[in-house]
Amino acid sequence: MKIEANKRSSTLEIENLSVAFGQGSKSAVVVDNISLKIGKGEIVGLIGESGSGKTVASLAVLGMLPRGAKVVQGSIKLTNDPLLERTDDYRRSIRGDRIALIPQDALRSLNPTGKVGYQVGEPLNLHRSASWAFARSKAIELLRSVNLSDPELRSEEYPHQFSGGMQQRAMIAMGLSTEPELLIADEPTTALDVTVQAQVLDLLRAVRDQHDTSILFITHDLGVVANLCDRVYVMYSGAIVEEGPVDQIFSNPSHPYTQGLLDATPRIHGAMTGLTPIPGQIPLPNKRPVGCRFSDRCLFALPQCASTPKPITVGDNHISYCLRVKELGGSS
Amino acid sequence: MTDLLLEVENATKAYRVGNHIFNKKQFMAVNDVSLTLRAGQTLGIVGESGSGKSTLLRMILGLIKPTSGNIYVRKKNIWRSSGRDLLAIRRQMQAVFQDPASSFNPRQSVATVLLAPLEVHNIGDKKMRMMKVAETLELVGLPTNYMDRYLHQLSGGQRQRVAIARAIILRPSLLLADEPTSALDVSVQAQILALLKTINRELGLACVFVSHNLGVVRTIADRVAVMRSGVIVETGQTQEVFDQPKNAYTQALLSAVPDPSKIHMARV
Repeated sequence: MKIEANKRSSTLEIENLSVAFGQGSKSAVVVDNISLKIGKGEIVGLIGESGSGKTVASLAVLGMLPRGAKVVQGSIKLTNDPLLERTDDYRRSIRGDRIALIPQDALRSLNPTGKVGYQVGEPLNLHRSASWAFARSKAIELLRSVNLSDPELRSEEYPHQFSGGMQQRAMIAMGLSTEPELLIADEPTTALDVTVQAQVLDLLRAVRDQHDTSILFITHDLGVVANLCDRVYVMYSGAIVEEGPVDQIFSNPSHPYTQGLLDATPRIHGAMTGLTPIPGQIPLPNKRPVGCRFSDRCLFALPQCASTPKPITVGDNHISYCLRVKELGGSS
Repeated sequence: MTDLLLEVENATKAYRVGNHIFNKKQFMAVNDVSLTLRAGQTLGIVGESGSGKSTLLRMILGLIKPTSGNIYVRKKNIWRSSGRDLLAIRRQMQAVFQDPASSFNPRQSVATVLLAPLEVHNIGDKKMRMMKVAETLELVGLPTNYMDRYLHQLSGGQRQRVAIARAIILRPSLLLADEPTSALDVSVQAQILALLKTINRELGLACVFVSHNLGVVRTIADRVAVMRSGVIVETGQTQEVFDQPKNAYTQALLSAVPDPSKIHMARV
């Protein structure tokens, strides 16, 4: 059943990861037995609506789970380095060095009292023991590489003097400073206007092409995924329901949830037939239906859907966790 | 020919920038905008942040006073009316805002929220009001036993349904919606858009729908106005504007939207 996701070596390998909040009978499993792989130089999209567990999964990779959350099973490997077996100090030392995070809200993530140039160069000083003079000159170079005009001048300014797009570009520059193996981008364009978003996406593509950086792109926007990613994982209520190459996910969506998301996404082209909403809402972690957790909102659900979903191969590296995929396939 | 419900005539809102008394520099948030809306029609206003779309909507709502220009609802100038007249106009138009979490008092029950407009406008007796609340809840697709729930107990989509219920309980003729779905997930967003469409049709509501999301506006609006830097740069039938945009900015905006039907080729 298991499929080699990629011939290239994996930068990130998550296997059977579960994360729970709370303890004992009151615990809520927010990430439930997910496996995910990112090859070198690959941009992988993790799609899911709020409450699907996508952000918690990324925090587990970073080792930044909030208080009360715990990894209950599984492994996370960063280029064969088993992160979950490492100490907190070790994991802190690779954060901002081998793994960088580009958060959704750049302004809240930048220090309002520090000059942008200082903050962009800081990881070099911290992780690579670079001198401040070197870090500063490198910061200017990085700011130029993310298409910020006048980087010498701008590096002396404070975050509040930057526009939203410029702040996000500064965050990306900071993330790139140590040339990390893995860049985790958590909804980095959600707060931006579409024209600015297009620039940021172009920039991420260029980063991958130039440095062979692996990127985990977390989003709820299917349009962005179609434009940027090589492979896609679709998450629903803590579990992965479908995974595959981007063209297959969009041309042959093989899980009713993926299909539902596509039908509910407003388009700017094509027939003006209106949208088809998915009825109901995402269940709370302790109120999930037995078996397939989408079954209570699914139009195709059968009594058999109460059994644990198993991976079913529908194409090259394309896996669906829908029991009825073979019957329903091709109808899309 | 249906009658003109809303007329915006050369509406302008200027803010003074800088605090020096001799500094007469002005920032034109909305600059000489005119538009009309017929009963039952939906007008979508799209633009990026800072384009003036929300300022325009707030002027129509009567929350921001225009620096110059006039706004008429059913031929009545909303900024020249007062007292009883103004109350009557306000009853005609209701608003739904972006964040359903912050547009309610979390300590109020759904019934309290929905009764408030009826009490303000002194409509019916207690029994009739409760009936109206139940009827409106049904209309927005919420079970009537939700009346006793508190708003913090509801999900984002349900809260937005309550916001819509509050807006339509007075049976207004004009609904002003400012990014009503941008805080919601796509599956829930589609539910709310479908609901707004049905309600607009069933109640014959006219709607001004402001959003930065072009896809959303395309699904709901009959006509579209594209705003940039306080000016309407293009306006027309929705299909026309989206399929054959004439203005360079509209074209740029449309081409920047990532479309799920345009898949990039994966790197092998």
